[in-house]
Amino acid sequence: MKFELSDDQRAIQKWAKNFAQAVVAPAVSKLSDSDKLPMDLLKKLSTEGFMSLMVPEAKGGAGLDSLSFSLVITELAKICASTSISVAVSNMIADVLVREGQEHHHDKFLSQLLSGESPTASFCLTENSSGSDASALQMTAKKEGDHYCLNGEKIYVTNGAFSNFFLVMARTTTEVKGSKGVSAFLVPRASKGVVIGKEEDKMGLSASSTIRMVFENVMVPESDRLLNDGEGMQVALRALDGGRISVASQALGVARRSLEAGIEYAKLREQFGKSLSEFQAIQWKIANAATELSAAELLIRRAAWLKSQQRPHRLEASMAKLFSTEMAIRLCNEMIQIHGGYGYIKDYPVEKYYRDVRVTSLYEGTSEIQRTVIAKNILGGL
Amino acid sequence: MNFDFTDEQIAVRDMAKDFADRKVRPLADELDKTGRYPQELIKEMAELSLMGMCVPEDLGGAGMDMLAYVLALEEISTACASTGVIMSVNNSLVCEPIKRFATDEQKQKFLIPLARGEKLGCYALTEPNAGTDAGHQETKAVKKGNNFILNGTKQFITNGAEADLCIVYANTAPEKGVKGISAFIVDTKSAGFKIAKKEKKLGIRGSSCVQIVLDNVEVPKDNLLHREGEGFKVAMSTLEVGRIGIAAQALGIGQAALAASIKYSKEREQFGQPIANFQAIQFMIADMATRLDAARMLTYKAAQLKGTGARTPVESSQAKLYASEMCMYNAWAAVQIHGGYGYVEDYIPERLFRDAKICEIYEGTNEVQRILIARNLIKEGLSDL
Repeated sequence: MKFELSDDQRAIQKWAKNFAQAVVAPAVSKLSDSDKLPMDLLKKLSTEGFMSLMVPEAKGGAGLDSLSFSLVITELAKICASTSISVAVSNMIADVLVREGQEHHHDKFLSQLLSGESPTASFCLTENSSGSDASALQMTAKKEGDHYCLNGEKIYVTNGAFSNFFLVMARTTTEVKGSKGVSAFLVPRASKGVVIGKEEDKMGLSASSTIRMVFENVMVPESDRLLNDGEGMQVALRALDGGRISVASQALGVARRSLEAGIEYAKLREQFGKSLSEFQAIQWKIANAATELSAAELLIRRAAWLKSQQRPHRLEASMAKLFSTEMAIRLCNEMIQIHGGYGYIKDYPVEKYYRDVRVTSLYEGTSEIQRTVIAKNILGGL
Repeated sequence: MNFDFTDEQIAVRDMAKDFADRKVRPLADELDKTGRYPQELIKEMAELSLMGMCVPEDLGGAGMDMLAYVLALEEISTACASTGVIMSVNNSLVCEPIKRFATDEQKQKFLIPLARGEKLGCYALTEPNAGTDAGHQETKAVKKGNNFILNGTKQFITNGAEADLCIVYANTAPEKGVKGISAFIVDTKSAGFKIAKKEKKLGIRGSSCVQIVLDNVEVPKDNLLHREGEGFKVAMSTLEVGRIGIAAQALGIGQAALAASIKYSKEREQFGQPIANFQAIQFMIADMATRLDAARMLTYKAAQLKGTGARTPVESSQAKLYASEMCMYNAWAAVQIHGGYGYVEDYIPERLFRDAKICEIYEGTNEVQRILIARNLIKEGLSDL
């Protein structure tokens, strides 16, 4: 075993850290809870290569391995959790295009992510009635000649306000229930019948865009379907495997900043004539937080490393996601506790960290789904 | 980064697992019930070079790296935590400080038989009034000619009833406090070295835990380990290795709890189906497995770093803290999954639950680990992610 990053990985980490501090931080520092990420920041991220990190260099991407990708997401999340999820989801779609797409998909869609024409990309999977039970989705795609006609509603579409195209999961047959009837389509924003719905008003990640969408008789050429008819859920599940590492990396970054803030505050704040950091009650919170943070970091790195090696990593990715996100939520809560009343007001950053990080155990597979994946892996065919 | 084990580490782990499955596991229940010291196992473990794993081969050891040691200790502890702690004390607390701090002569005389397993070691730091506050040593060592005369009482000494050699901490200059503490290698057959009491314990009953009274024990000054007055440094550096050993023991108990729970939940039927089909059980198993892997990562990382000779004040404490709490949780969950059967002696979880508890206490309580971690981070800041 070797726990040190390679020189290349260190360099990538530094590149992301510098960009996050020099470009992202000033762009997001004055945003209010009702503001979204500025388009020119997203475009800059896109043209700098942040939206296509693992796309091979031959295709215009940065050609990073999964571990380096994880490091970048963590560095962005330290500065802005909304930016990190926007980047993570765009990369997920970029990877889908590389993995499952053909040359003409690259020309038509991937190129837009590289040039900033579509600074982000979006994934339309969740519906009103299908969350964890994703393959129960009801949106239909009816074959009409060499086109499909899409009808239905999607919710929780991250980057919805920014993206020029969407990866949409829809059911091509009602004969087959469950995952086998689902296909994956690439749908331009400008398509007739695409209705951009309302922005969700969220607890945290307020600068990221999360929208509802309606598809009314949207005609999609057969050539914009990924893989074969009925293979859509495979596309989705492979995408989510990587997404779990992203979200874990995001949670790690936010938690790290929250812990730094907690330690800083504990050192400065005095009560009963001494620094808070001298009280065991506070020391314990810091020790627990730092220990769990270290464990989360290692679980994430292991999963990302396995993915980099193209080795099986579904179990490890679920463990990393489950552990890291639940750790991060606990940690961010405890750092508010260290701040006392000041932790509850917006002058201190820990209030925002808690709201931002809370979603991480919900999206890209709830903790409950991760536990189910882990248990099934361990217990075998149940 | 690389999360693969070396071929050598895999070979050592497999060898230890094979031995644990064939020889150790069948005895674990009897050792727990009788409190008997597993003489025959320790002899065979010595033949397999498991008693001085990180000692160089020319000094009687196996010349392995620390991660290989952790993997072997984890496998032995999966079968029997009592046997695990006997191995851990000899390797981590006795061979390591002698390897690191002893003179060449001392190594020839003491380390070779310890590493070969011809002699067994124990480690005497704790006193009736010096537990977590280990620097508060009341045992005194007074120089007299070529000897030191030791007087005092040592408490909770694992392997104490069987050991041939004991590393004893005593104060050679009480007015200097912690800076007056020195470490000695003491022959347990010395006149005045008395086993005053054998403790009856909640768990790890197959290993001995005794009170030692030192009544005018004469120790040659050649047996001083490291320099006079630098005993506490020896103690603290040794505990960094010791904590990795206890973390490895905790991994073994945690793994045993998980394995028992998987097996039982697939066999046990209620409401017409295996209880493994129920989410309540699945989720406990998922949490056990996830925490176990998190603890493994922390422990392997600490071992890897320690193996390079680095100080690991934070890493060792984090590994010990997290792994011990994981194993307590896993043992609790194993009892819970077994229901009433988890509470009776016929099933393994009852023993695991009792064995697990000690990991949160010895080699520095978890309270001390937290203080060490927090103090270090508050002073030095967080290391880079």
